[in-house]
Amino acid sequence: MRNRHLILVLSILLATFLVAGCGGHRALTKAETDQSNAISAKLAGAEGMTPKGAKVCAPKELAAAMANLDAARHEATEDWETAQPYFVTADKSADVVVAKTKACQPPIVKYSAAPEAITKGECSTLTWSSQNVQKAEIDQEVGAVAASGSKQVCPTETTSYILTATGTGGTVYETATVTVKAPPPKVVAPVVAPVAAPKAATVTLRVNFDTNKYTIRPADLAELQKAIEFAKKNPNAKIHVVGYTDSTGSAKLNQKLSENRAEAVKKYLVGEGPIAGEKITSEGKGAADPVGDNKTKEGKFLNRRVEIREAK
Amino acid sequence: MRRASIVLCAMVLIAGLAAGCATSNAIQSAQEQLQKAKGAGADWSAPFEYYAAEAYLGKAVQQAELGDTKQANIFTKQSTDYSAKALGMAKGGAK
Repeated sequence: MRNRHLILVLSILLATFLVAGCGGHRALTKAETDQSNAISAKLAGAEGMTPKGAKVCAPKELAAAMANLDAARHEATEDWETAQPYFVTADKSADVVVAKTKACQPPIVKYSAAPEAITKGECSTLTWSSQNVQKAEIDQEVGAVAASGSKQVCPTETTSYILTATGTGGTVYETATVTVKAPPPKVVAPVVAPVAAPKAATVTLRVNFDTNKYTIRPADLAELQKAIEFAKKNPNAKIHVVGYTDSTGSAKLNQKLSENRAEAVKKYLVGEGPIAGEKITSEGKGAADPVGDNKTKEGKFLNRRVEIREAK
Repeated sequence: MRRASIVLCAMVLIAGLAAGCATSNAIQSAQEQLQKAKGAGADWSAPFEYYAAEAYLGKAVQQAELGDTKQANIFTKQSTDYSAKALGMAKGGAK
């Protein structure tokens, strides 16, 4: 009899453990459900940001925030402990995701010259507007400009004005060319102008690198996407990729580093785009052809680059 | 009858230990999967999936330490799923 009682007690004990394992949970309160939904919405908003979402801009932070939110939801179903600190942690980590994703959006620039063609002695107006830009400048002695604005220019010969827009998400270069035509001759003779062949679309893009590295920065993926789009629209086009470095370091090391940078971009374009490997050529030019001042940090950054051009 | 009681007690004890061991083994297996994904370069080619696997593994370890094996197993499964996805993307060259 005593053993029967023992078996009964053990059975009850086992059943209690099983019930405790399966149950012992409570439903989320309305406040907790609202908190959870608000955090989910923040994360979804960051994931949906364009052109780059949180998965590209803040993958580690997004993953941590999602796990934190799941942990908070779990804790909220446990009836022996308050889940509030877990929701606070999840909310803070979601804020980090949103901030980092916002900061990584590349500059978006609209830039044009009107009129695009002038006669010598006339002027044209450069007009630009931009988003996600902290600093903008135009070369050809125009200098630093506001994020949006316009500027009259009166070149005496055909001139390309490069607008360099820099934000936390990267640097974008846009070009507006003002073509200067010779003044019309005083005696007009009837001339049949030859019909110009349609000009092929061209592409010149730049991506920049961190010091002594040839890893493609997430900030430049949008720029590389432009090259991929160009290749899609021009399936017969051949691409030439040229790597460069700043002037720091030995010529031998810079040559190798520039080749590695060009090769990294080539690999990315072949791996991601519709471009066959044989249609892309690459070369490194070391510290040659600087586009920025090698005496300044910013200039050096501009020089640590790869240029993607349509091969002639 | 006394013998039967002892056997029953032992079974209950073994079942409890086995549940704990199963969770511990699953976590270890998830850690190995994560290492494999890292070895394949998933932290670069599939960063979100890789870091999600890492984050859920951390949560699984926390829950296991708190004695909540059921939730630890859920997080371990999520970690393993993300590791597998990251590994697949790394091998496939996808971003």
